[in-house]
Amino acid sequence: MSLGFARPADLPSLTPESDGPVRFTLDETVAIVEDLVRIADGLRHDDREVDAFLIDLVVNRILERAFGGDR
Amino acid sequence: MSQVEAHPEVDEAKQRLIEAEEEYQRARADDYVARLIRDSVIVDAHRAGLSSRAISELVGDIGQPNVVRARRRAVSRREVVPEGLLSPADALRQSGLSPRAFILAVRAGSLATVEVPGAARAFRVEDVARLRSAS
Repeated sequence: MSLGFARPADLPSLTPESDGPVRFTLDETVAIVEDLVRIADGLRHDDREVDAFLIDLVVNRILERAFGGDR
Repeated sequence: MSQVEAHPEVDEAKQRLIEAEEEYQRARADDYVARLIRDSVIVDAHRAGLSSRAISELVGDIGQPNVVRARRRAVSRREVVPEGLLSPADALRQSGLSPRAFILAVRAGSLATVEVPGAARAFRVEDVARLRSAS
């Protein structure tokens, strides 16, 4: 079944058996963080503070990973 | 031996200062840890099916538009937060840097992280402000 989008050829697919870590490049991580921060700021602007807060928690987790180290 | 070290009262004052600073730093970290614990409980509640509205009715300082608006008038999100420590997301915002520059600054050690219990990292407001003014 097609999901309607193409996977870049150089990215490995995740099989159902895969339970290892999913790794993103720095570029991908930066793009994800930028999108999430923009979404959180928009939610906060609309006074949806809890939703913005939950998005921020995701950003925190991603940034923690991006900083490196054993965490 | 220097003149300062020769005076017991100076050493005592210095020791009191060190202890007070340690206590101050510990209190700030404790505040941050308390916030992290509450954060995780909020996430659990959300995953358990509580709506954002229901959560906002139970949690004191977020999700109340009037309170939020009042707080924004009083203290901009860009300014100092009471705990003195910032989460990675808030530090990113306050740094004024792009996410890439922010991540690289942390990796390079240009922006120091504060180790807090629970394998979490935080940032000092003054460090982030210094980085912002330097960039």
